[in-house]
Amino acid sequence: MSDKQTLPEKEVEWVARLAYISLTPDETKNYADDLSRVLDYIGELQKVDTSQTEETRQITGLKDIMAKDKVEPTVIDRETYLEQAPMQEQGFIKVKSVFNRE
Amino acid sequence: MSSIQEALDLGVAAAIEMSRTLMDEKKVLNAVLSQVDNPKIVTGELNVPYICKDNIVTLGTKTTAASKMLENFESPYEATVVKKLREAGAVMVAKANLDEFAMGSSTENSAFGPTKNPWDESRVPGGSSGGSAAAVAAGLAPFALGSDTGGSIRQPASFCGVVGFMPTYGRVSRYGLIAMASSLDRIGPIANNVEDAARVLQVIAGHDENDSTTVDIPVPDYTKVLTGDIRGLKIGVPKEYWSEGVDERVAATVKKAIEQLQKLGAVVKDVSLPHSHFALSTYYILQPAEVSANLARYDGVRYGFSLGADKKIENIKDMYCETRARGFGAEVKRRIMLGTYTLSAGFRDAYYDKAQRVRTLINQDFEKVFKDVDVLVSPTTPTVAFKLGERTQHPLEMYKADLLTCPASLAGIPGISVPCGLVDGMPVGLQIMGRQFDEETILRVAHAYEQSVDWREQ
Repeated sequence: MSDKQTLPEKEVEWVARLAYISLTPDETKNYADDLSRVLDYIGELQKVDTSQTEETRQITGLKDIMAKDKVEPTVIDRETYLEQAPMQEQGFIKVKSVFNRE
Repeated sequence: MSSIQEALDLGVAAAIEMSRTLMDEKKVLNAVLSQVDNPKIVTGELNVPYICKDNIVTLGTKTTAASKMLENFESPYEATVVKKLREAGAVMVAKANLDEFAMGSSTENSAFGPTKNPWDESRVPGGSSGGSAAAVAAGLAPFALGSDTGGSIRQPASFCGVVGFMPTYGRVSRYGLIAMASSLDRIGPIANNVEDAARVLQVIAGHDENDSTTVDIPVPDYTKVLTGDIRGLKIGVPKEYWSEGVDERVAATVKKAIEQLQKLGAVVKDVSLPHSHFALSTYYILQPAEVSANLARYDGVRYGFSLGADKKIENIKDMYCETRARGFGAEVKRRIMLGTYTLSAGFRDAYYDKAQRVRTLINQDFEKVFKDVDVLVSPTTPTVAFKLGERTQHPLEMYKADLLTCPASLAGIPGISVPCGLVDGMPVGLQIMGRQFDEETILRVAHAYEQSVDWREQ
């Protein structure tokens, strides 16, 4: 491995926090290597002159596509959705506490 | 089963039976993840069994996306393509293996084990639609559905010696396709021959209110254009598609196919797509960025794998982080993190926005050459199918399998891979690309080529 690392382990930890993925120290090290290599490769785009070029927004040129302004009952009912939830209670989806108890 | 016609001649019940027997016999390929127990049969023009990639939601079976995250997921609704096929008489008999959430080029990223190439079980079938391509190549069903984001239909079709078709972005509804990179994802058929691919496309193409990226224009008769006549048609050979790691023997095999097109009366000329070299980098910025957004939904709250009931986990943030750490495989996490990084504050201009600008240049290259030529031809992949395990430790090498397929993905244009010869006993694919919404011309060229040679002898 080269001594230069485009994405140091500290930054991998920061990215993993943003992405809500916990990593083991080994994984952090491996991802630092892998992602550095990929970032070095994709960094070649900086060589392309895009000063006169707009960004692609929709490749077939569609714009302002709206759904019909019509109220319709959903195809899937509330119970079906709830059944999919890993935890539920009294008709609600249940989750772990959002705030820590002090 | 070697074609839709053969299955139709057998009759649907016998064809389903044959499909089941073959699936049991060829378990070693690990091409299918689940079978449909008692499929309903209705009559229609496409009254044959088929296999659906397991990132397309279906009723009555699990839809796993080959991820632990959705290992037990049963969708409460079905995809538009599945509904259309059902109404046309097609009978889904199984769900096909894939790289987890369709991220990969070898099907080795499946949480349920890799699929093997029916031509040589020590080699990969390609990916991410590797299960679909291997299933068709092994005759398990006359056709399968795949999805293509950077090459995921065309590349495995090439590796397995079958026909893989990626329609124009917006030609086929993606309602019910598990979203990965929404500005690139498309659904298309994998089949034994071009006519079969056209027949399936005929059924699944068209505008859908449930997918706002589908275009409301008429769907032509795709089988009517398969005349075998390509005299005077202008075919461009992009000079950038023959360097950078393209195996010499693969290149020579595809050049021979191009000579064949010339013999059939097509006018072949050299053209240039100057920004092709940058397509792979552009792709591997945009695709992970969109992945990081689309896969944020897998948080263990509403459906899928969850550590919510784990008593050791105390708050919701730890539940998110642990659920995602254990539910996703290594490649999915790699791409989510790559995308999260390139979209993060301070880097977005340099990566994502820059890539969207380069994408414009890549698209302009295509628009320019399509003023001069009707279709473009190239190898589908730089090499034939590689060995299992050969690239799993080198993500960047794996990404390079998409080198020749990702430009068409970025430009939204349709592309097909047709088998055109063998190198080391493994199939080589000829890629044909066309103008947006001009599926007819590439089908016509692919069909004319296919009918004029025995590709196994090339």
